[in-house]
Amino acid sequence: MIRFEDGFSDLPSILARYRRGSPEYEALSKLSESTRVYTYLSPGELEFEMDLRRGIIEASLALYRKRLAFRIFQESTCNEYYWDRRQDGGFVLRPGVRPSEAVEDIFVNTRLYGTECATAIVIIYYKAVLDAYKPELFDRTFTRIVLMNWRDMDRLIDPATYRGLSDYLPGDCRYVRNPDVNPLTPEWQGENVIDLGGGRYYGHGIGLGNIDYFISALNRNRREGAQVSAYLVDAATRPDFRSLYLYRKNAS
Amino acid sequence: MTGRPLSLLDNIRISSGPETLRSYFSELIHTNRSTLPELLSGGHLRFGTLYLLKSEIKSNGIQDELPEVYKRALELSETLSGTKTADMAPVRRRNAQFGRRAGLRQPGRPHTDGKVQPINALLSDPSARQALGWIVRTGWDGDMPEGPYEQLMERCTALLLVCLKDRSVLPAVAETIFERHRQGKLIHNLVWAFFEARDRESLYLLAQKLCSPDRRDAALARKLLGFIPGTDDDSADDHSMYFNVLGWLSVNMPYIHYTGESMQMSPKPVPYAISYEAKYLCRQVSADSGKPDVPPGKSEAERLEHFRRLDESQKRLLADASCALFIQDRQRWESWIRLPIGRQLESAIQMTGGSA
Repeated sequence: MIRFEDGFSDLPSILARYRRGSPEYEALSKLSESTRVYTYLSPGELEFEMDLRRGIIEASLALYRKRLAFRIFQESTCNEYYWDRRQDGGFVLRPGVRPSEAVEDIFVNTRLYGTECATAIVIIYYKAVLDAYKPELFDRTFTRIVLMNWRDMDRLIDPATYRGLSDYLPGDCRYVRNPDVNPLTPEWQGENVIDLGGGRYYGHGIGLGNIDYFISALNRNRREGAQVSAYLVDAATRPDFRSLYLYRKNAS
Repeated sequence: MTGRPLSLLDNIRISSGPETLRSYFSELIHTNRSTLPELLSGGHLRFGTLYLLKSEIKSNGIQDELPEVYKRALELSETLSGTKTADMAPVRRRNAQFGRRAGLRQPGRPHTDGKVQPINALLSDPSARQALGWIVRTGWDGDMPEGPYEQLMERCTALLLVCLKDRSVLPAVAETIFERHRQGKLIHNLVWAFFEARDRESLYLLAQKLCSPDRRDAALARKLLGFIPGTDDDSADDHSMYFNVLGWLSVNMPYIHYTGESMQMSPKPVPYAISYEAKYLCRQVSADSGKPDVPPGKSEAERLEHFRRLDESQKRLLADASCALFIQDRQRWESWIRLPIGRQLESAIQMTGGSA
């Protein structure tokens, strides 16, 4: 169930704002029907989270439609007008460029970019936050951006992995692990996937589909004689929705 | 890798670069060929040097004069360098619903579909292990060119650690991880292979770096050991952090097992987790499976049944108390573990001075 610290109790009015079958509707239904209590400061915080989840899904679909290429870190590529490519294959925002333009460029000049699945998720998170914050606030907030893996993300976004959750929601980042991966192709060790709602997922380099689709793709890249199938890990990674909400609220 | 004597050829490569090395080697082939076998068999040659000379060695038919381990290393490097991921067919989307809706073809990642050299065949020859060991111990050289060579080294390291579970190279691999990190180079796959060796004792190799004089080493060690309580305490100095981690490892070592979590999966992966059931019974578990090395007997199974009904915080409290008592006073523990679980909880609360 959902509880608001400010005493608000008209959840149906929030639910009514979303189309039945939309990711937001699915997420809200799961939260409100859960046996767990989810506490929000106000309806504003809940709506912000729903918007950000929607943004994560839309950024995922945009990367898919724009055909962002899969490249292992050794072969990663970027638009060097906006990004410096590090020795380790990560991208660092170049001095003097607008962070919002640099992030947007990945979705405009997508053919210039290629990277691994963990970096794709980082890009998705920044794009979703950019859409939620709008360029002016985004540029003030994220002056140093590194696109590589989870560890390098800005402290405000502060993604965290929650294990053994009772409810998984659209916009969550899930992980399909491939324990018997062929060690010669470690890029198939697992796949970060974004839950798009309705049982569908996006994973960079594999595509769109249900979880079995990703499991099959990973299973085809196991070592000879492998016994263990790839599987969906019982965990989800989420940005720090509350901090992002409070930061925007206090900034405006 | 430092601390190994250098052969003449290594010295030339390191001091003057690959081109000078190749020129020197070619000149020797024409002027003093008889000295080559001895020069290559000195025993201290590094793999990087052999790798740079592979064309010259092959074109002049010298490979048969090489020691077996070098010969095998060259064969393996050829096979593994040939396993080009870029040559493989792209994945196609299979989800018909999305296929119709989006009408697009996904830019897939390189995909193997069984075209990679079968690993089992590659490793069935015992000499492969020896050759891979030599490659990994001597080949991670900071002044070697990156790119294909780096990928080859990653593959050799992964084969040795993931498939052959050769834990003798873990200290060398740990050193390489930290050295490459200092140089800003990619460590992603190396770290993955290091943990995939599933050797919990190897965590000590990372812990040593917590009090490295180089801040970058200490920072990386904190990240890699981030699943150990207290490692996220920015105010703790390196030495107190080191002793805290050593203490945690020595207490929990028999009860931790590999989970498979990696930096790719999570911002704060938990590659090793404690089996609280095992810690409660003070029974060692397999680092690989998390299952007890010796299956629980009837009375232990009954205790576990009660234990499993507790909530997570109670399980943790009881496991910690049991383990602490086991270390302090084995005789007292033998009596304590036979108490009803409610009494155990009461005494555990008293022992820790807190509440469940």
